Amino acid sequence: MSQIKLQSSDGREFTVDAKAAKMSETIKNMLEDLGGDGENAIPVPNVTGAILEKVIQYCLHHKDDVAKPEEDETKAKKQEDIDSWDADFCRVDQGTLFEMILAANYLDIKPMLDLTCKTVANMIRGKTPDEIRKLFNIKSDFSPEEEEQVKKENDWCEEK
Amino acid sequence: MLAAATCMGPDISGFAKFVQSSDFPGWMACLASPTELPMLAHASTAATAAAAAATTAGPSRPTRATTATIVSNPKVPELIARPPMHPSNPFILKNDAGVHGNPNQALGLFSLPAELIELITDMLSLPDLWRLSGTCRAARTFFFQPDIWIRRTRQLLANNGLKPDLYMASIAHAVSSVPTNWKEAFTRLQHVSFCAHVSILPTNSPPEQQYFDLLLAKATRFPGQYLSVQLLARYHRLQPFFVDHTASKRSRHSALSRAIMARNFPMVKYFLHHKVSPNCHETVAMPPIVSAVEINNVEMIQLLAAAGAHVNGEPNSKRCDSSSRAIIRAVTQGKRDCVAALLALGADPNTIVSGYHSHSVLALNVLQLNRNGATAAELADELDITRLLLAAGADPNAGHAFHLACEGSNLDALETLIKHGGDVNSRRTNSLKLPIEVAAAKGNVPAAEVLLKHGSLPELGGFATYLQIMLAAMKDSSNLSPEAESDLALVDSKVQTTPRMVFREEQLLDTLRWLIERNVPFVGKAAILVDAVQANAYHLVEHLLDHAADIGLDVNLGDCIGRTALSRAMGSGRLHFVDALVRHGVDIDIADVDGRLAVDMALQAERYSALLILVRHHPQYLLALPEAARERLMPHLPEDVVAAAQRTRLDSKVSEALLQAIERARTPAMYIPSPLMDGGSSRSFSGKLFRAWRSVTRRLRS
Repeated sequence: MSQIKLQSSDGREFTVDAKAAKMSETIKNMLEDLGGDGENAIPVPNVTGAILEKVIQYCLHHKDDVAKPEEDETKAKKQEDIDSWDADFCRVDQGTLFEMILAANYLDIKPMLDLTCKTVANMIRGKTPDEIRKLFNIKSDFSPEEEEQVKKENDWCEEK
Repeated sequence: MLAAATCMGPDISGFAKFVQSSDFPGWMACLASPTELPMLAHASTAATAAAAAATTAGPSRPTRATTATIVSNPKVPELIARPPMHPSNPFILKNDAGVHGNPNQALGLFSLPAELIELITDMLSLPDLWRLSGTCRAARTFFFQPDIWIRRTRQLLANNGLKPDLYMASIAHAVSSVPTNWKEAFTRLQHVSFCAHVSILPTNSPPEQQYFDLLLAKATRFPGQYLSVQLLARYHRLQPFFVDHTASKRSRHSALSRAIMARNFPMVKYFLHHKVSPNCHETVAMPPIVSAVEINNVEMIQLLAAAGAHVNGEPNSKRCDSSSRAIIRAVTQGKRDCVAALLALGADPNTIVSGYHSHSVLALNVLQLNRNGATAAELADELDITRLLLAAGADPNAGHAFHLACEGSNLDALETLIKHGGDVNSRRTNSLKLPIEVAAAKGNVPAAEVLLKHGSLPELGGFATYLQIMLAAMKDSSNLSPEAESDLALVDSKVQTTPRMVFREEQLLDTLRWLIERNVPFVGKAAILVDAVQANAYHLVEHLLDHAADIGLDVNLGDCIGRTALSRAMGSGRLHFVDALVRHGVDIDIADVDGRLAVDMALQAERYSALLILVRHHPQYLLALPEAARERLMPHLPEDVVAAAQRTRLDSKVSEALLQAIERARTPAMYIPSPLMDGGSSRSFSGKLFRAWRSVTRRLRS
């Protein structure tokens, strides 16, 4: 059983290499529990076709990576090093990026979740509240007094 | 998130137990050792190692998606349970299904589940997190959860990625942003400090100082937070005696006071053991011993006194009020046990409160006893305090105590004071009033009777005092107001006269005659005549009017609102009294505080009979009356009176002046509360108008 079928929420079917698909803990568990026969497509109800395509793209690229959980933890702290393929992979619009985070979380693909989260964190890093608001299209709902208070509290991190 | 216990190595678990329990001696053993917190240093190194180990092991993410559930039918589309949203996610703004169902709908950062947001923000530095939290309200609430904040602080500390100043700011923030759960926050704070044991240099810049002031103030409220206090004091070189400068001036307390107010006894013992002064060196703050009274804890008072607290206030302080003297606070708050304890410790029972009145503590106690509407049972403690103070040597005659007791209705207190040397004939220091006069002015008959029984001499203050008392007693039984007149027949309005009242009046007359014979002067400004009218004591009024000149009684004296006896008599339609007063030539043109004359009172109450009597004696008044009233009275008036009135009218110049003068007399007098309340005359403030009017009437009469 080297190929399995996945079905997205909007009904699209994907045939994937089993090894790549098993990067997802969720799918791996299902295959083990259900004893997948390769005939029936496995439904992935929370993920749309477009996003599932991205997920599969990631899994195919990383299926041969050696899992290094020990180093993984420390590596997560050094946010800067995202390799070029991953960086390109994450160069999508924000909506898709968040969908990818949700999908990675749902399908339990740890490296992908880390990567996508890291990407978002990098977007936030070093920006002022105003820039962050602009970037993520957040509307400020503070009253002028609160705004003042927030600015005051933020002083310590702005100056240092 | 790392569980607190994981951070604790085996070496420090004993210590941690001490932290959690309030095992005081154990604590002392740890903290009082001469090397200054050897356990802490040791424990912290161990903790750092433990923390590092915990970090490498990797904390299990609680945020993982839920594992797949096995279902019997694989063909059901909803095969896998959807990961549940974090129940406390404040960002669930959009419909969950909408987000997932419609891929075109834009996903915002904050529409992600909380666990994912945490995951993202875990990768951010502290300042970045701060900035993110400043973007919108939801973000603020979310990031200000103590959990997130403290966990992050600890993580960053473990990675040595945090500067000391940021560390302090973040801890202070973590604590200050969770007002509801200080205890939890502090427990965590301890762990943070333990795990990191970073060598933080004391920073004395104002903002941090404030954070720490706040932190310490909060820390003192919880038992077992010695460590927080210790840490703060150590890292920040806080003075052992310390006043929270973030608080407003009135609520400033020392750390010790705060600990006391929070009933945090282990903490107090800890402070005292470490030689924190039990006294207050700052003038603005409340001394700890006063705080102990505030919480009504005798043990604490004794503990503080044993540690050297000044029971009678700071030696160099001139302040002497309820927030600087323990005994004053204990008395004003009716804390009997505290009073007993303080007196036993040597508190001065004759403490005089600084301020305008210079009441003694005993006087304050009496004021408590005078409270209106309190039952005897409620006042039992206060009465006990009276006895305690007197037994300790309080002077009942000092600081107004005795005179205040004469005002109140608590006869037990009065008797107690007399028994302990209260002088029934002493004069009050400020107003020079006798006790009996004080009682009389308040119409306090029972107290006056007690005073008379114990040898009070009312004649010292003139017989006005005595009459006032008697009248007050009569008024009690004559509260029935006279019925309104229906016609102009000269019939007195009905006032019920009880045998008791008659007896009283006779008694009063006897006294009056006796006093006049003995030439006792009429002293004081009591409006006896008004009282007598109100009490319906006709014979007394007549007698008083006859002898007014002899005894120096001012027949025109108004009561507390400036109403004269005539005003009262006319207003209530007591015709006999009106007649008697008018016959004796009392002044009919004295306005009360509202500018109303006796005529106005009668008109208002439609007492035409009373007006008739007035007009008979003063025909010119007919002109001053309104048209309707005049017509009503005309048929009842003798011809000569009408003619006299007509004659006056002919002299238009004079009559105009008369009307003007009456108008002027009606102008409301300026309200001056103090002399009036004391039974002063309205004359004093409408004197000018009065004189003008007087000259006009005199010209008319001649």
